Amino acid sequence: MPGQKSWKEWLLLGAILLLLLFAAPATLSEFRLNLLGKFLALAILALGIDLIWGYTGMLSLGHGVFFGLGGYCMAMYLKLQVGTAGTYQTDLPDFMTWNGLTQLPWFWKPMYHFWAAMLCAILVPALCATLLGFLTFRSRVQGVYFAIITQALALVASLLLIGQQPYTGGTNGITDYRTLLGFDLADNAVQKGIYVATVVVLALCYLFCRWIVRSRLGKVLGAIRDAENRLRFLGYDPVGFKVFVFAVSAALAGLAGALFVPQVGIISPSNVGIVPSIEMVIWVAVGGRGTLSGAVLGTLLVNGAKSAFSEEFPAFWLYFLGSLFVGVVLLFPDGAVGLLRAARKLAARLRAPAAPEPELREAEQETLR
Amino acid sequence: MPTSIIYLEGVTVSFDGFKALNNLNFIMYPGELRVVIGPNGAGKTTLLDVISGKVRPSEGRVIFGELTELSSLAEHEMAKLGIGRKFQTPSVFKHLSVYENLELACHQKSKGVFATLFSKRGERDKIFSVLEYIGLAEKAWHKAGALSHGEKQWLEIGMVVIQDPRLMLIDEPVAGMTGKETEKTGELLTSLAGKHSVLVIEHDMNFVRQIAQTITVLHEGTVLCEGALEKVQSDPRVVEIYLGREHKSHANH
Repeated sequence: MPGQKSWKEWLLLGAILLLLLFAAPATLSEFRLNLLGKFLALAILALGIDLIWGYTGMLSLGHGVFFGLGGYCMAMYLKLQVGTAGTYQTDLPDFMTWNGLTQLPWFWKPMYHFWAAMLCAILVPALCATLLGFLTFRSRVQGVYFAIITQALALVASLLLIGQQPYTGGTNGITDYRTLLGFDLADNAVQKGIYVATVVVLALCYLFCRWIVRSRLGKVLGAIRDAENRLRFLGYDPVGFKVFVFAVSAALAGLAGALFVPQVGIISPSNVGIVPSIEMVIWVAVGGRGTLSGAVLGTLLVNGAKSAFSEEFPAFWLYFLGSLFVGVVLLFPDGAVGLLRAARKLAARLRAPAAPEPELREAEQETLR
Repeated sequence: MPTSIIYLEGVTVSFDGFKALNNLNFIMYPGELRVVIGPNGAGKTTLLDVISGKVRPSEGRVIFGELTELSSLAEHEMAKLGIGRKFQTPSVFKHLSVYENLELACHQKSKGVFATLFSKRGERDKIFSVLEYIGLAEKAWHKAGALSHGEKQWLEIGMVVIQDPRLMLIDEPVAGMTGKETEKTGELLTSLAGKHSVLVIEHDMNFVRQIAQTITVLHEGTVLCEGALEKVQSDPRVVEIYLGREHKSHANH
């Protein structure tokens, strides 16, 4: 039963996609387009956070880790592509040489191949989340304790990356890439290609998440958020659902990391720790929890504000971000999308005061489609 | 003697030394409508917790249907076996629509991760027939959190009904309902008995009089007496511990 709202939504999605694919590259400067590409990669991660936090009600403060795992996989591939053209003209990445390594560590070896690296960027975070999630959720760890565990994970992961300098590049991370699949990363056309790929992947991820939240499983996730213990008495085991959503969310974060790295040119522990993980949560809060468009919108808004702000007043950015978060949580718990919806509802009521509430019709159309 | 639907033998549940259930024996047969009454703290809700898997007994056996020992199963496994429960304080999924609440409760072959991801949403007719039955068809698309207390009670009863369980555990179904709603709930529960086995806990003595066939009186975690309404009402021990306090317990509500 495709309702009126449904084709309007597709039209809007199509228009945004065309805008991003054709209008943005034609009008924006190289610098701005690169920024936008970076934000769109981050929006993929925000979709994942929205799945687990907005839809399922589990706050993860460790998504920087999954982002980092994906990013590092891609960075390892890009670094190995440098080959003997590096500073020391050896087969090994430069930081390994000056850390005294003479052989490539075993876990670097698969990263010679692009598709292997890409697969690892998605699967390694998903597997880590599955393992951690299974152990955590099976013992019925819920709410704030889950947030604390994931935050500890973020701390441990960033310390591990810093401590294992010969294998990970330490604090500096992995940088100084040359080529991707043989294409020169310094070439603008190549960067444009990566931008287009990012837009396409984001669109696919959006559709994937949309499919999930509209399925019956999506309703189970909502039930976990509202009353997990009640759900058990209806015959559902929440553990499997929570592990699934955690793993999908981690995979999206890893994919985001893999697309982020070639556009930015570096990945380091500063993308992985507690602070970036919390920032990611703020994007979703600002855009609007529990709506996929909110996650994307919030990422673009906050990161756009961040680059505008840090160009003018670099020292104040974190204060601004903190106040933004507190303000949104206190005043607009449904974020930017919630504000838009309230405005639309008000407009509809002013136009036709007696009409039935639009969201009831929408709920009907969505459920019985 | 037919096989019992639920059989508790020597069940003891203790919380830090306090025995919520004390060597309790309880039996119910298929199709029965049983009302459990008792003063506050008698162990009524704990009895439902034990049967539905929320609380494990420290001693004793709980047998469901044909010799299924329940004490090693998790809540969702018991629900799949055919035990449905309505909680004392109505607990529905407040951010989902009324329709979606019933959709989740709907008896499905599989309630696993991938089955729910790929299965079509549906069973529309079944859901609407229950919606009509509980008088919420008009509010199908409202969020369950926006319902009144009585409507939430109805919705949760509807969720148990649509699960089509063999044994229904209904904790205080008429709290917060008007006289007319109470009467309708009574009719619903009476009509469910026979096809299902129904175990109801209730404080409201008028409601108990309306529906009760067999009454079990709990006191201090054990069965004080059991039988038809007249028998229970005329038992001096019951008058002493429960009916004598009726006014007091009503004042608390």
